[in-house]
This record gives sequence, C-alpha cells and structure tokens, in this order.
Amino acid sequence: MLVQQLINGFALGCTYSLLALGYTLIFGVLKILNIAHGDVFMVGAVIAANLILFARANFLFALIGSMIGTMIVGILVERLTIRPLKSEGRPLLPLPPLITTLGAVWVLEELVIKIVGAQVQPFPSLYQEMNFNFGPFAVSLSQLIIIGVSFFLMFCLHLVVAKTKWGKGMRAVAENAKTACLLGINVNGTILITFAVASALAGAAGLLVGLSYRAFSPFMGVEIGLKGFAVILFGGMGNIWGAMVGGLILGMVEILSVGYLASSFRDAFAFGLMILILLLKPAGLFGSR
Amino acid sequence: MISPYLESILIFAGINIILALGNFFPFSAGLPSLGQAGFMAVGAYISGVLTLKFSFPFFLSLLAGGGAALFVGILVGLPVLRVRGIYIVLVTWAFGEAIRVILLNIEYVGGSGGMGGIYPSTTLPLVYLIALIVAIFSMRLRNSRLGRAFQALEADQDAAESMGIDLTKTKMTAFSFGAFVCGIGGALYAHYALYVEPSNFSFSLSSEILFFSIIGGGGVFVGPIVGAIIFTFLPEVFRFLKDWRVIFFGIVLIGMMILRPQGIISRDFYNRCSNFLRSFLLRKGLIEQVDDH
Amino acid sequence: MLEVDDIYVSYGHIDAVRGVSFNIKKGEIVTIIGANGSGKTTTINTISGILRCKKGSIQFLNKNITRMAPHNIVQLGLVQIPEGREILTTLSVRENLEMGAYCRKDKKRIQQDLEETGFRFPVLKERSKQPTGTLSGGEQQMLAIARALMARPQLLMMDEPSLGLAPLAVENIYQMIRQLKKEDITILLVEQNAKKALLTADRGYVLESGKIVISNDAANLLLNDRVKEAYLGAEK
Repeated sequence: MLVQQLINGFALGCTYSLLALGYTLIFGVLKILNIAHGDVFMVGAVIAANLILFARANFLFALIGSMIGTMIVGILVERLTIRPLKSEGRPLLPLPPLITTLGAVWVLEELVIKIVGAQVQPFPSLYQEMNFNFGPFAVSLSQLIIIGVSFFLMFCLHLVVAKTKWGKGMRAVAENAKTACLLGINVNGTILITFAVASALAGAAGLLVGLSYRAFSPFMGVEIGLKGFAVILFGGMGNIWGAMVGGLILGMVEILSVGYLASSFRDAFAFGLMILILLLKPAGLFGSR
Repeated sequence: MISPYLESILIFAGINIILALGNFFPFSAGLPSLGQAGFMAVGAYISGVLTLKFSFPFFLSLLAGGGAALFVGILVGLPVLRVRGIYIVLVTWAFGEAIRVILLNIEYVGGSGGMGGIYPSTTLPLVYLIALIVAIFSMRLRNSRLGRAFQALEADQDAAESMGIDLTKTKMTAFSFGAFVCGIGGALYAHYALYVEPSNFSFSLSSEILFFSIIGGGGVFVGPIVGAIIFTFLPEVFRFLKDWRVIFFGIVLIGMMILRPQGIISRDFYNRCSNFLRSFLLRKGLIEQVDDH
Repeated sequence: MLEVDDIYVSYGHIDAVRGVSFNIKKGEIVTIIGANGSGKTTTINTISGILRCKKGSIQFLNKNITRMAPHNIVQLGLVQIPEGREILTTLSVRENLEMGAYCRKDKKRIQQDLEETGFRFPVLKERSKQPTGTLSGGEQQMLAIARALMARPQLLMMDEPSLGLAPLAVENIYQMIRQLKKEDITILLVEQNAKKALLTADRGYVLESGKIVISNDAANLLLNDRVKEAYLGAEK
C-alpha cells in the first residue's frame, strides 16, 4: 500500500532529517564534515536508554537528558578534536578534521563498548505500542511521536536560526567567517553553540530511533552517519531546508525500495543517491555552488 | 626459518606497504581517496575467481586482478575528475562502499558468505618483491615529468592547469595507478588469507589505508611505507593495552593531526635526510657529483 | 588613539610586515599608501586581531589590544571595512545593517541608529528589504560604510574603499569620508589610489615591502618626488 509505505518512510525520514540538520549546521560554520556526529547520536540513544532504565525517566526527562548529554559530548568533540586544528587567519583544511573526528569515533565507540558492551541491546519501552487507524492506513504511536517531536524541534530550530542573535551570527559565520569577525561576532563562541545545538538534535534523534526500533548498539552511529552524509549532499551542504527535506525524501525512498525491491538494496540507496548527486549536481538539490 | 606468526605479520606489512603506495599515487596528486579498499576487493575477488574456478596460473590472475581494479579505477575516476576537495573523499567513499554492497549481492562469489578455498600462492619473498618494485617505481616517478605534474596538482590545481598540465590525463593516471596497485594488493591478500568476504573490504580498511599516508607522511613515497609498517607492527607492540588499544590509537590519531599534520616523514624531513645522505656519500667518495637539473 | 609599535607579521616563512610603527590621533584621517603586496591589508588585519604579530604591540584608546580577540576589538570601537566590501549576500540590506550593530547592547538606540545612520543613504533606505545582490559596486560600498557606522566606531579602518569603483562612485565615497571626519570619526584609510587618499587625509605613511619608508603630512607627501614618481603617476 503506497501511502502506508510513504507514512512509514516519512517517520523514518524525520530521524534522518534531525541527524542531517546537525551535520549541515556544523558544515555551515566550519566547512568540515564531522564524522563523529553519528556517534554523538549513538551516545544520545545510550544515555536515553540508561536514563529510562535506571532513573525511571519518562519521555520528557529522557529527551532533555539525552539532549543535554549529547550537547556536552559534542562540545567536548569540538574542543578536543577541531578547535586545536584552527590556526589564525587561515581557514581549516578539510582533511585533518576528517582524521581527528574519525579518531574521536574510535574513542567514543570503544568507550561506549566498555560501558554498555558491544552487543545490540533492547531499548526500554516507555509506552504500549498501538496503532491509530485513519481509514486504510495505520500510524503507530511511535511514528506519531517521532513525527511530532521532530517537527517541533525543527520548528524551534528554524525560529532560533532566524531570530536569535546566535542564529544570525551563525548565518554570518557560515557565509564569511572573516567578515563575521569584523562585525564583532565571536566566531569561536558561535561555532561552539552551533556544535551544542547540532549535538542536541542528534541526541533527540537517538532517543527517537531507539524507541521506535526498540534497540540500540554502539555501532548504530556509523550506519546512520553515512545516511546523514547522503542527505546533506543531496540537500546541499550547509543548507538547512535541504537537510530537512532531504532526510524525509531519503526515508521515503528507502522504505519504498524495501517494499518494491529487495531489502538488501536498502542501504545501497543512500550510496546510490550520494553517487548520483555527486555526478549530476555536486552542490546538492538546493545548493548554490 | 622464522616463526609462522612473524611471517604472517611480515606478509601483512608487505601487503600494507603495497596498499599504502596504491593510495599514495592519487593522494600525492591531491586526490585523497577513501575507497581504495574497493579496488582491493576487485583485485581480490577477480584473482580469486580466476585461480579457484578457472584454474588460471597465479601470476596471470594476479595481473588480471590488478587489471580489473584498474578498469574499475577508471570508471570511478570519471566522477572524481569533476569534483574537488572534500567531495573527492565522499565520492571515493561512496564508490568503495558501493563495490562492497555489490559484492554482497553477487551469489556467484558467495555473497555475504564470502569465497573460500583460494590457493595459497602468496609468499613472503613475492610480496616484498612486488613491494620493492612499486617502491622503486614511486621513487622514479617522483623525479619524472608525471611525478612533478602530480606535485603541481596537489599544490594548486588551477595554477597547474595554467602551466599547461592536462588535468584530466594526470588525475586519471594517478587514480588508475592507485587502483591497479591496490588491486594487486588485494589479489595477494586473497591468496594469503585463502578466504575473502565483502566485510573485509569496508570503510575501516579504506580509512586505514588512507592513514598510512596521512600518519606516515603524504609528501613523499617513503611516508606511506613508514605508515604501513607502523600500523602493522604497532598493534602487536601495544598488545598489552588489550581493549584500550583502539582508544589509544584514536587519541594518537587526534594528537598527530594536531601536532604534526604533515605526518612522520614530511617532505622537508625527507629532503634533509637525503641531502645529508648524499653529501655524506660524496665525502666518502662513494658517489660522484651529479648536476641537479 | 591608535598606536602601532614595531610590529612584525609573517605568513609561515614569509615576512609580510617588518617593523611597522605609526600612530593615529583622534579626529584625524591618516592614510597608508602602498603597492599591491606591500603589507597594507596584513597590517590592518593585524590591528583588527584577525592575524597575530610575532613581535611588537598595538594600543587602542590606551588599552593593549595586541593579543585581543577580534570581536572584543570591535566592541572597543575599532571597526574595519574590509577590502572588497564583503557584504553578506544571504542577508537583506536591512539585515546587513543590523549585523553591523551586532556587538552593541542598547536595543532602542540601535533602532534609532538604523533610521539615522543606516538610512542616511537614501539608496539603502529604498532597498532595505532587498537582497544585496541588486546593489551596484558603489552602493555596496555605501552599505559597507553604513554597516560599519552602525557599530558606532571610534576608529574606522577602510581597506581600499575605491577598489573596483567607477570614478563617480569613488568621488561619492570620498565625500562621505570627508563628511565622517566632520562628525568626529577618526579614520585610517588604506589605499592604492594614492592621489585621492592624500587629497583627503591629514597625514600619510608610505608602505613598501612591509616597512614604512616615508611618513609626513599628506600635503607634503603630495609634493614628495618619490611619492609622485611611484604612486602619483607623475610625468618626468
């Protein structure tokens, strides 16, 4: 049933969008790909799971807790692996941050493995799963939560980027860091806040994915990480709308492919999309270069 | 005779050296590739299939493996030509993964179960012979016209173009050399491990191969060789760290990039060493003064 | 107001600025002229804090700003209008002006200033909601100046304001500069167009290969033979 697949894909796509937003925000201000972002997402899921299991947290607590936790981890990653690479007056070269964030991935994954073990573990449930029927289609409670929370967060992000001082500063830095300096914008501070916001979004996504898949593992970051890259490539690196829309599209395409093609092709879609975009329009669908 | 354990490490080191040099060709031309494991996979599978299922002689399938990788390299090189900077990394990464996923779905070569029973044709002397050949080739390349073109490309693409360097030909050559050599490396690996499966040739392997150049030093061919040797032996040396190894290496990686991003053997360091060596040998009368061109 | 004392700035192994010293007093227009690559932009970027000098010191309003972060320097009232204007194209004209006042905290006065300062250029007022791509070179320069003024600068540093502009636009800009002087804004003018700069400034310095070779009143520099030959296109 096509519409049902689209609904499923839409919900999945929301989580991709949240993750891709983080990538795109970071790319916007720093012009680098933060490979560790996927693992920040994973940490979010782990924190949320533990909060629910051991602190009897309800949904709101788990959400806020994982967002704060990932914010801290994200800031640490920026301070320890990216900030030290910057030298004055010159923009960051693309390769060293790639390497250091990869190093951060190793460290984060191994630390998490030490704490929670390497296997896939069940994510504690917070509610009884149930389906809401709208005529011939069904939407599960998980899906409603995912879509609701994601859209709420994306709406908040939009407001923040458009209206707040940080948001305007971030847009200035994303366009031209040197001019932003000259305008009195604290570029390093802005970058830090950008990292915090991006990581918080990843944390939320971690909780949502954990809840809907009922599982989490230290390796979930790498898989979804690639999907995130495909999305921002598709939507234009640094383009916020592109990340939002691209995520939704990838989610729907993936689910449709499982429904109509073989399931082993599902992950290939992210790659295929990446390759296609890189060949046809490297700047992405909404990109401008 | 050396112990099988040591032999195994030495063979891996040798294969890593070959792979490192395979990555070095495109890297030194300004094309950092995160997809070399894909070419390795092509070499491994093609050569494996030829010896296993068609009873080809080893050397022939070795070359065929390299050749197939070369062909794929040209295919992948086409989109790489059109992009710059970070996008090159993304394209090569995507293709590397695509190759892996395709192999995962081909039942003829075992799909996710992999392909086993390959004849153990790889020997230690063979590996090092090939490594030596590739290393000498890299050394000669450095001073050749093509090698200088690579260096110009790496420094500044636009300037190189305005100096009359044919970007397409140069980039394609760099990329295909790299693919060919990695294919050979893959074939050697297949005939040593005797069993290959797609998950062997993952993104982590590609990134390891890239690290050989980045940590060892991407300015000069000696760097990746040093990087490969260090990467092969370091885990053994640090075995006592047990499961803290990965964390330790992660931190080392980060530290290296912050403190010495040019790698262990930087171009500067290499030049100083070879100048020192040259003047030393001159004074001892072991070599003659040759005019530099 | 500004004292630059013996600064040395280098890019890797290349020494761009080698022992430059000069000062600016309140209310003056001082110009630094020199050819391309002489170190003008490097100097001005070092004062703004974007680059660090290896040696030497910079004092502004009696505070040591040598190691200060760029955004703090702007907050003190030292504002640079960079070479090429560098308008933010993802923002509208109005938003660009608002960005000029980024580090100011007095919201009410910012609105007022937007009206007075920002829109003293009628062109800008007309196009306030438009994206900046529709502005001509001269208009962009006006926007850049207006944006800088929104920060209420004590010292305005302008890097090659006449670059790439038609003569009429250049004349407009310089009229603006003279007007600013009347409003008690101190100006450091870095220029390749020596003639215009020396006609407008009070004092001048000539920068060659990272060193100051001549310093004098602008009027005297106009008559100086070396300056005439090298920078004023004098006939022999």
